[in-house]
Amino acid sequence: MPPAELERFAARAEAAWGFAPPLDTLRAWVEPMNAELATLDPGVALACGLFHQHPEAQRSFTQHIAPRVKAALHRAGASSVESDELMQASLTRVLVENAGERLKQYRGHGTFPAFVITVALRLFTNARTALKPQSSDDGLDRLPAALDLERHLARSQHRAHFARAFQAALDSLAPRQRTLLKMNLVNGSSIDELAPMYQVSRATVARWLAQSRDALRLETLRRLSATTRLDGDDLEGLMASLESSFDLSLRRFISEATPAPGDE
Amino acid sequence: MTHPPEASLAELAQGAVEGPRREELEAHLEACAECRGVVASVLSALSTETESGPHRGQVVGRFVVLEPIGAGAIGEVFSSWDSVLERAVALKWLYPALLGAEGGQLRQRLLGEARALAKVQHPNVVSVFDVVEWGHTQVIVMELVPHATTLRHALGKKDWRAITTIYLDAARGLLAAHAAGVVHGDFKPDNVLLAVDGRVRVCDFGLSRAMPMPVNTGSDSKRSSVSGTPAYLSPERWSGQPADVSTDAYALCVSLWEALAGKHPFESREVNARLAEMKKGPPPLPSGIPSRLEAALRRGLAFDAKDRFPSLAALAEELEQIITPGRSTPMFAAAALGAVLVLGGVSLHQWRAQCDEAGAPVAQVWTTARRDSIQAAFKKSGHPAAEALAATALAGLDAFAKTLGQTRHDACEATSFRGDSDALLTLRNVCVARRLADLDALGHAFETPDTKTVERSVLAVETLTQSPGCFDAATLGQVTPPPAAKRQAVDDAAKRVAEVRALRLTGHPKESIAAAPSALAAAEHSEWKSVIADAATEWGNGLERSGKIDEARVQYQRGLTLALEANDLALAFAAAVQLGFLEGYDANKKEAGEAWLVMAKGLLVPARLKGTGEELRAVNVDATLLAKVGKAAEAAEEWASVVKGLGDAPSLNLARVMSNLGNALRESGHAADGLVWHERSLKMMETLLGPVHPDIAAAANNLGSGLSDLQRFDEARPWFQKSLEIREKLFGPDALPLATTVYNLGELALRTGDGETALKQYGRSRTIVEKAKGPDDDDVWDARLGEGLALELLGRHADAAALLTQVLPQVIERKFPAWNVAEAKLGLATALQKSGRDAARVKQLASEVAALEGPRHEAQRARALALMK
Repeated sequence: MPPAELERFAARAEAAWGFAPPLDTLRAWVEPMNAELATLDPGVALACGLFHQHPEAQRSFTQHIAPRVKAALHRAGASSVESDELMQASLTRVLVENAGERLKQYRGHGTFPAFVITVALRLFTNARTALKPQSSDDGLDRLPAALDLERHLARSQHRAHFARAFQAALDSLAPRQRTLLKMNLVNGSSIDELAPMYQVSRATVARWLAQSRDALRLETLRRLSATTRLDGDDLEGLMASLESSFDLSLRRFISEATPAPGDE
Repeated sequence: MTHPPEASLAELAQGAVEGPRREELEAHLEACAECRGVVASVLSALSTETESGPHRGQVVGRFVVLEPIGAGAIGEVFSSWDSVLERAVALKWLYPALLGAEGGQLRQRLLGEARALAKVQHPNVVSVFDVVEWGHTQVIVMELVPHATTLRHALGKKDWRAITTIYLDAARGLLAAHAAGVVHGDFKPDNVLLAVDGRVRVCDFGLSRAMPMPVNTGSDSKRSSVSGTPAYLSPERWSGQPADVSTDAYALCVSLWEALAGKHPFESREVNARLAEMKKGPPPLPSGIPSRLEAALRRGLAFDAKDRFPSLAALAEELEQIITPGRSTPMFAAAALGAVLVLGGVSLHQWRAQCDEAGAPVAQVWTTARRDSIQAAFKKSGHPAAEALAATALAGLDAFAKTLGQTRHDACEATSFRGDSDALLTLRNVCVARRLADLDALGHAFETPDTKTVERSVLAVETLTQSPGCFDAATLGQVTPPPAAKRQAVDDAAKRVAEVRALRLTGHPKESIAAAPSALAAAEHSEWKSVIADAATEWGNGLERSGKIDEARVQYQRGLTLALEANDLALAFAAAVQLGFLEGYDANKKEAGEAWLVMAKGLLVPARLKGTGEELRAVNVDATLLAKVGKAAEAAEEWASVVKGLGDAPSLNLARVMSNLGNALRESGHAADGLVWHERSLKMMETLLGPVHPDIAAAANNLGSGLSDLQRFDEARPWFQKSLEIREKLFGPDALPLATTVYNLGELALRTGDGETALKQYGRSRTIVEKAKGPDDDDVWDARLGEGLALELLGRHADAAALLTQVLPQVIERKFPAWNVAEAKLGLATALQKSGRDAARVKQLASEVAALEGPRHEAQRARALALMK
């Protein structure tokens, strides 16, 4: 690793976080990562400083990162007190637990604050899951009668057919399409939020989502018409229901669809 | 199921992982609801951070972020201070989501562009100094152009010659960049700044080319590699060719055409329709524009590149000829390059100096000398807590003065450098002037204080300083500012109103209503409705506090009407809240009071007061009305929300609400919960008011009562004694405020079996009330009841029977609470029985008590049954 490159990296870290560890320490930290220094996030230097308990690194963390972690927790729905506690717990987890070994997990891909925020949100999710009773996943049996689609299906006694067709159609999608649909419909991630995750523009995410929805709708219909003997009127009614309330149903079905064996 | 490490989820959320590892993580996410939830929260948190961007005061390497000055499609621009070179610069913060799209490659490309552009020093180009990495984005450090507006908004009604001249300057900037090998790639009116000195500067070179932008190519399957703003793209660019110098020339023609015609030369958004339109050429320009100019632009917009001007320099030469016909221009491009000017940043100090003095009027009113004189005057007043009160009050006024000075300064900068309107500056300054008049008047009152003034100083300061701020354009912008000719009259009126307000706030309502009419006259003379509304409302305040409810109502309603007419919704809100309190509390008409509060709450949103301390004022009054009609539980709920809303900062207002909450909880049967609030309230008051203050006496008394309710008599006693000591110190040995505490001490003695003390204290309480209110007051009979029970406790049965025989019909007639009436009956029955008289009466009284229902009377029922045996 050429010294000039290391120095440039340290300077970048210094500008970003107001701190850079001594070059030897930094070298020992980044060399095992076996990556182009220029491609690494300068947060790596901060992680290194925190591991070695440099006061300036700790100051920088407290000043620049801790408030962002707290804001993220707050945004995720933690109360002010909870945010404080979870932030403390996250700090312990990242900085103290196993003598700070977790810091080594962060290898300069993505930003360091995002890493700490993820740790905090994992803790938050765990805390929430511990409190909430687990919902059983018997899924399709508990479909609400309120939606037009399901009412129609219940009337025409084809609900079970629909459920099977839908599940099969869902399974036929590409994994990325399924993940994307779930992130969007079940977890409520917007296209603006999803775009950076896939490194594409928001328009592309929107297009992907539309394509997945269309594919799911068509495949469901195709399978339904193949496996049921719906007469003309019923199929027409079913089509209309699918068109009018597909998104509503989709959200409900996807969030409750029976998981594949071996899952969760 | 084992979850991937957080670092991996973080990388996935940021798109910083590729290949099989990424597929693995995505597959896990599809199956694992928990990790999906984590990633969704991370995405949401990061996206929010991106939206909120950097903050004032944030340090980015050697730069300190100052103010936001604009935002565009690819980033937000902040004025900033370069602490090494000591100059003002502009930082362009690229939206991380855009930057993230192509990772490291894009960073490199941006750097390359910046390096090239850094070589260009031209008066018509915004210089780029540096590109800095920050967090997960990059920041471009540029020359700061003060007082600038983009051409999109700057051209207004300029004539064709002025518009063309401006674009000619922009062409000069482009030519200089081209000579340095930099193509703009996204030239458009939004990327050209016009400074107030008339100088034109092109900015954002190369940025858009570095950023891919979605273009509707009419086919979804093919991802377009076209970048730039579609409206300004040449036909070649639409068909996917890269940007070059001719692209910039074409975009300049589109921009100039748009500025002259007032609309875009081509309007289709779909690619094939657009190309067809371009082939046909734009519709004619409006009349009045020279045909030579139109011809030049048509040539510049020709569909086929070979039909256009051979170069941007040739186009510029033609434009120059059109503006100044006959003038021969030697080698246009060379001239442009020759005009290189070395630009330094403008000194931050020069840049800001013009607002340095903005805070001066505040400094003139709130001086150290004045502070000292107030401190001395408080000390001289002889009030036992004068020093503590002066400290709290002065700290409050210091902060108020500082805020006012800062607001004037910020208002100056906002109008001078950030394009806020002069009207907004006037509104802000008028608002500050009114608050400053309040500060002045209250300061004046504090310089010659009487006991009341000293005592009420802290609350007065709080009330003044909690008024809504003077900067927020959303709140202020709804009021029409006074005309310049009336400014003096408005300021004079504000001073008069402030004097009236200071009198009221320092506990002199009579003096306040005496001064109010002339203040109102001065306000009317100014003809500015907002200040007239304030004068009327303030008069109403004084009247209400002097018990003149009907007159107060008239002034409040007048204030409300005028405030609405002036569109001063914050003031209208305040008047409506006052009316709510007046009707609901003073006039005992709960429904009428609530109606006004509904109106007040309806004003919160249009007045942009939702979520502010003002909203809490309305809730507070609402709770007071509920408590007044005995709905203690509901009142407690509302007060609890006010306490929550006020936050942690100690204030007298907060302490008072806490105390109210404590009382309401106690009355709704949650004595233990109430106690906590009484304790917190008392503690807060002591830090604000020092040890000797009527509010603290009241709080100590409340705390004692709460403890008594919980039968914690030994703990209650010291609080009653403390309350009594404070009141004796403040008011003398037999002043009315002492009566309650003395009565409570009697009650406490009675309940702990100390008949002697009980008799003494009840007697003292009665004497105090008799002296102040005459012998026939409710409180006199209450104390007499206590005396009777104390006599019975002491075994003086005959005396007790005689006294209670007098008391019982009185407490029944005066509708005392059932519990007290029952005590009177039980006391009388016991006394009669013990003195061996009137067994039938004993039985009758006891059976009346035994018939009472509810848990509160349980012990009384048991005693009654014992008497009946």
